[in-house]
Amino acid sequence: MKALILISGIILGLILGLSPGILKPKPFIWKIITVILVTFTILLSFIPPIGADIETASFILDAKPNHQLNIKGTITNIIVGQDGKLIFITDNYGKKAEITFENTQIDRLIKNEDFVVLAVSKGFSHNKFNLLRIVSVNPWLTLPYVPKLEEQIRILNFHVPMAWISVLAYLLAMIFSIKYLKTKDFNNDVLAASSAAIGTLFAILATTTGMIWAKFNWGSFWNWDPRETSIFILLLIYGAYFALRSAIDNPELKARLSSVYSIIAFITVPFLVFILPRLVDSLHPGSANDDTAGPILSTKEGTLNIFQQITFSLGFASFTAIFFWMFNIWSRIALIIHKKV
Amino acid sequence: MQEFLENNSLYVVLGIVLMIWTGIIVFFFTVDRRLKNLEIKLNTENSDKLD
Repeated sequence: MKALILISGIILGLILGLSPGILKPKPFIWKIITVILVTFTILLSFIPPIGADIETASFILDAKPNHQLNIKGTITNIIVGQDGKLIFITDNYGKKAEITFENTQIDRLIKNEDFVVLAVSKGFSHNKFNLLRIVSVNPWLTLPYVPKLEEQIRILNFHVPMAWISVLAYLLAMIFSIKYLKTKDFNNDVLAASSAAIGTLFAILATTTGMIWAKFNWGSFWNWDPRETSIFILLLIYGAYFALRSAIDNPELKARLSSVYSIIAFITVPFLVFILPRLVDSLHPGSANDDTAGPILSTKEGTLNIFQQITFSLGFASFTAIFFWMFNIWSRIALIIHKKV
Repeated sequence: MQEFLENNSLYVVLGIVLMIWTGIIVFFFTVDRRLKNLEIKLNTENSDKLD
């Protein structure tokens, strides 16, 4: 089911991106749809609060007593007395928790039957917590708490589609390179170079966003993790492509050699992006030692739920559409420059 | 409002992201329109030369 939702997002993005044609100016309505898709991706990535179920929260806080996290559940009782100020909540799995609070204002903000997301710290025993603040009362949507990823999981809807776009762009660069070698039409060479340039831009963006995420999840910006190493090698390979293009003055030789290089370079892309990081142990989610098979496709509890998978899929669709818009503009400019020179 | 944003700094980030996104949209629309005009101009010049 999760894979199906993911593939639907990619197909939607490809259909939208390829219509009405790669080089034809995009109609106004097309642009509006793309803008709406990206805006929805941004809103759905930021607005819903993240909340853990009670068992997960207890497990995490028992292991890390100084940690703070959000829990979600329905309020069954609020007691405000001289000795005790307590909120009782029940989560979707029927687990009950007791939360103590100091601030007397809080009982005015919430009432029985409210569905709440609360920031808590560890209480004096299992399934007992201290309330830090109310995050949300009766939110429309909540996102699941994925251990190790927590709030930083919001990067998923941007970082992964960016890496996907670099793969798609390099694939297009290879297709146009093959077309150039077949037809000797310089337009195909211009399109291949434009696609590789945008692919490299997105690969750099994916690396940069990943580095910022790594600083807060792994402790430093760069760890030579297999996933980081593989994207670094990929950037070097495509850096050499642009070095090759700028080193040759003869247009025919430049186009021919860079086309052959682009085809060979793409052979490494599936290996470096999809295969190698899954074969070896790594810090990155989805690696060989990740027992959840990665949060994206895993069916285990506490990984991505269907709603999060839909927003993730929407991220793929919107980034694919944005890529084709960028590619359209970039290629049309490159073709004008090519014809003038 | 001030207190809400202090407790929910994620919404400040959301506001900044939306502002950047608005700037990118305006840039995309402007470049696309200018490019379209340039293509029309170049096509007209080319057809004039052929005549």
